Amino acid sequence: MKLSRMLAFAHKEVLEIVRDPITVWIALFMPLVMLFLFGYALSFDVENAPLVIVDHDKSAASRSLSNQFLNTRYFRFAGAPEDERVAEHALMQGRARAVLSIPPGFGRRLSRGEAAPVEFLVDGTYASTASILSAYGRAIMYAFPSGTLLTPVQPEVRVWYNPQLRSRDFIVPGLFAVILMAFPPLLTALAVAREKELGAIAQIYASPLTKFEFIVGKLLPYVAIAALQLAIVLAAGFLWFKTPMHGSLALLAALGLVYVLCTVSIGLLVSTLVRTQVAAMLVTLIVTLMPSFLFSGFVYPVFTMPEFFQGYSARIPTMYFVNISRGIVMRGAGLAELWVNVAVLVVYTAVVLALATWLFKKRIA
Amino acid sequence: MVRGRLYGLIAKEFAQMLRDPVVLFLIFWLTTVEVVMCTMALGFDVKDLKLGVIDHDRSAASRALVRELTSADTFVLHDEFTSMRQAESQLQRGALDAVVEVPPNFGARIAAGRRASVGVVVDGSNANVASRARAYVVEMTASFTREQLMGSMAMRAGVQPVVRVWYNPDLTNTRFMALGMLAQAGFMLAVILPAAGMVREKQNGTLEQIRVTPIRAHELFIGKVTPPIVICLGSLFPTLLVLRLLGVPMNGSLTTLVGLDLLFLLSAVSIGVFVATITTTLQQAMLTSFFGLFPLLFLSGSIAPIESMPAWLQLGTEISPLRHFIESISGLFLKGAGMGELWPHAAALAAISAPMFLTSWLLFRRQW
Repeated sequence: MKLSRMLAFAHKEVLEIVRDPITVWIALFMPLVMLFLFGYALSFDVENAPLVIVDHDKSAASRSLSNQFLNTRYFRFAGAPEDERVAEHALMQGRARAVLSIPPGFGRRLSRGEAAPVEFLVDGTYASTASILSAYGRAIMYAFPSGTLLTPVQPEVRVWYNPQLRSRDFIVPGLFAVILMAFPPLLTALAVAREKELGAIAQIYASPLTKFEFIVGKLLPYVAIAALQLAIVLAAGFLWFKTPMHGSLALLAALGLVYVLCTVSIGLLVSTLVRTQVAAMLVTLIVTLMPSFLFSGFVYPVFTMPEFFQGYSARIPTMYFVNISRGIVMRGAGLAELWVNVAVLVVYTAVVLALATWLFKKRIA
Repeated sequence: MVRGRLYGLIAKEFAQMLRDPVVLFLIFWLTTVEVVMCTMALGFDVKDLKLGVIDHDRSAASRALVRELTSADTFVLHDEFTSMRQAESQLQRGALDAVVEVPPNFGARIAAGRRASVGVVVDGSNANVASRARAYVVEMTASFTREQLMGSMAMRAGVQPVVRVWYNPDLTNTRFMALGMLAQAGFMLAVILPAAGMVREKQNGTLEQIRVTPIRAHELFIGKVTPPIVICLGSLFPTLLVLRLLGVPMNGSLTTLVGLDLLFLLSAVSIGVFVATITTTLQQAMLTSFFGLFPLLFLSGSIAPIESMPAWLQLGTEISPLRHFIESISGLFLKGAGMGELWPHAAALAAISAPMFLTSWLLFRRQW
């Protein structure tokens, strides 16, 4: 192995990247766009769900109950039709997420101390929202003053690590892991697949470049880009979104570097398996992007999955970095708490790199 | 003659697209295995959360409260503690998901008709889980209050909530997830395949060869966009079949589905064509389509509810064809809606797709 040859190869790779402004632009801005979109768009707090109220009673009590619903931040007013069918139509069209239907005689029954049924209809399409809305709906109705002197048991719910339940504080650290899994492997896989597709790989086969030099020469520039992406997303996450940081930034950055080495290696591994860029793109979508988004615990908690798929999640390095990133940022965890995740990540990286080197068949032309 | 030319072109495109067995396999994977995986794994039932209890009161009332909280399968009683400090360390290690602290004199205060507070701590590391847990705690304490204060006799008085969940009574994510994946897989393929097909000709210089043949611009355009649309429409059926085998019934009009999907795919291939006109190499095309796909995929409402997004982004989702498509197919399959209910989304889809398709054609012709 000659260092000069390897560096020359890395240099060629850098030139190739720099000369393609679209690629550079996308490599650096895309993570930022993704961070901004998700930082703002992904919120699991249920707020302002459109509520249609059908009030057949029109008494003081029924108006008061309606107001109880609309005074919370969970619901917003989306119409008060006379007819149930209009309300159900709105639910079907997706213009309303819930319907509160107060039958005639509601106020009278309440003042007499009788049971006064009220119907609360929830659109179950989005299960998570639906279960939260029905829970709050029930709570509001249970707590509704019913004529008797009622002194409520007051639950004082505190949420730890994320007091306002701001989805963003939990999304952003997870997003570090997802973004660094989405882009570096794609760039790397496309780069090698391009050489194969255009036939330039034959020139490399014909050159004295060894397997190892090729791998390292490819790896270096893309790890550098990935490190730059890491710096950009960390800066945007902490400076723009002001995500509260409870742990050590140095530790996060250091483990981030290990992680990007891992993700770039995965890209390299993918590229050894495919011949065309379209295939490279589709494979990276399937092996990196989708699982890292869906199975890493970033959105859907791993413990809610069936056991088989928990095993699948455990095969995706993103899960470990989501744990690391959230641990450091949200809970101020250190190596003592996170060492298992770190160890798995390091071993994973080593295995992927070894596999990529082994699979890169250097043919002698 | 002209027809023969078009057939030839389309046949060539099909051949080129499907020649790579890896690509063929991936299309198959994306529309079947991936859909199944997501459908099976991401049901996202929050249950069996580990609840720690600190009962300073040890009265009948405090025990009843704990019973109430653990009555459904959302919480299971994990352990009892004597101080918050003990429970905190468990929470920190992730061994507990929530802690309830019942203050001394809780039962006595309730019996005296005074206000009694209960401390609840929820682990917020996963906001998704925590917001469900919090809503559940609020609901259960409200129902507990009702039972305790009104006594068994008065139980029948007061507001009786009758909560019904429509379209998805057992509140699973499964069918919605399946529909979301079906739409997303189609969308990705319908953007990537035409973009790749067009740019490849540019990059390899074969576009020059086509220009000197009698093939006209519109013929090439049709030849390029037809195969991806056909492939994506065709891939609906394996997906539906697999879902049926999995016991995720999709009851709704197949014709309406195919019609809506066609409208939707037109907008997707337009994005693909647009990408192909602004890029020169396959690498650029792949990266650029990724760049466009991503925001659209995740502003579609299939990952996070649209209502919770800020107003300006909600407005942005209105122009996402994926959003309208997902809304219409979930209406079609989950709510059993027909065109009578779905027309606003179908109209929106048409209003988005038609100009996009036209623009992509104009761009294509200009470059030709």
